[in-house]
Amino acid sequence: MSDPNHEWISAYLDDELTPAERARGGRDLSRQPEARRRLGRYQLIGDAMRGDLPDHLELGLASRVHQKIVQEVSSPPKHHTLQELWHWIRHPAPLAVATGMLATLVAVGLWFYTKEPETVPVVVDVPIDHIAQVPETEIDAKEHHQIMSYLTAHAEVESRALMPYVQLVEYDK
Amino acid sequence: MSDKSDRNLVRRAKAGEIGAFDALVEKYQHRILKLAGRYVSNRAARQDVAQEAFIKAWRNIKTFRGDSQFYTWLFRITVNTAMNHLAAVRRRPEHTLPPGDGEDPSMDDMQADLDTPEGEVEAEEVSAIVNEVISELSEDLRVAITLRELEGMSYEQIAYIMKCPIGTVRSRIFRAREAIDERLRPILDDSSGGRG
Repeated sequence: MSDPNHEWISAYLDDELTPAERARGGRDLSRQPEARRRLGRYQLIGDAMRGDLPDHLELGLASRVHQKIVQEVSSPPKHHTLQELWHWIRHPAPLAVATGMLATLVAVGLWFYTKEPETVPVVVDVPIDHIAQVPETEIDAKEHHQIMSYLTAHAEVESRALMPYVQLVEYDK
Repeated sequence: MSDKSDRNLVRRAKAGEIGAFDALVEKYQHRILKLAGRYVSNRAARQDVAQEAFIKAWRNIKTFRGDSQFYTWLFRITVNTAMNHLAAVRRRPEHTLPPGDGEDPSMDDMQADLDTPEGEVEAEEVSAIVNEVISELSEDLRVAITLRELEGMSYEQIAYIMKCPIGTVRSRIFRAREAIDERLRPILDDSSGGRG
């Protein structure tokens, strides 16, 4: 014979209780393991009728979840952090990659901050036309001859398209 | 389904009442196990996925805002857990794979057919008992439980169809469930080893 005292569990499952009954039902389910198991079996009946069951029912699942939760509540969450840290230490590959990346970053950073500013040699390219504009009065005839013969010789080279410009750095007066 | 009742249990679980969360686990365990089975063929792995999904739900219950139904939220957690499991299996070197862990479903099925470990019951057996008892019920009880479970009707709708008070509907559905439960209980208790 069915115990009418359990009728509320059936109505609770169907969401057919008044708000006051529902609050009481929630409290009773929270405190009475047998009421919870009955709720589970009523749900199972509906699932079976709708074909919503897995091939194999695992009847220990609810109690295993319960035990796990009780364990978690009684042990601090620090446990998980340590586990994760141990996972990293235990597996060398991700640790090696992380260490390598860190070392590279440090080396690049040090190199940037410690290197001296570069000295760039300045070379002035002067087109050949500019050289012709040097005033003749500023140089004597001997020097003029030297320069002109140098330029003529290099102009020949330029005509063979080997040297487009003459590089003039300095000359003695 | 049962959204208001779930909300009540969720509120209590958020306040730290483990018993309220246990009720949600009792209610949804088979559906979650079936859902996990769609992604993970290995039986032990499927159970691990279902268990982990519930644990994750407990750890994060305070973040559940109630925008969706609890089952929808739990559904999403289970799918994510199953996907993570599959990704972890793929990352593992081949020689460390447990036999049949998502690698060869046909082997899993063969393995599953060989034995039913303690704590497990064939769903076929349960379904057969449920259908048998329903066929033996009086017409009033059979119609009431069928309209409720298969058509998803409210007590008010069923009362209208059956031309009886809502209280009578409530009582009929309860008696139908009790009749089925009476036949199921011995099998479930035997398999669970009389868990307390």
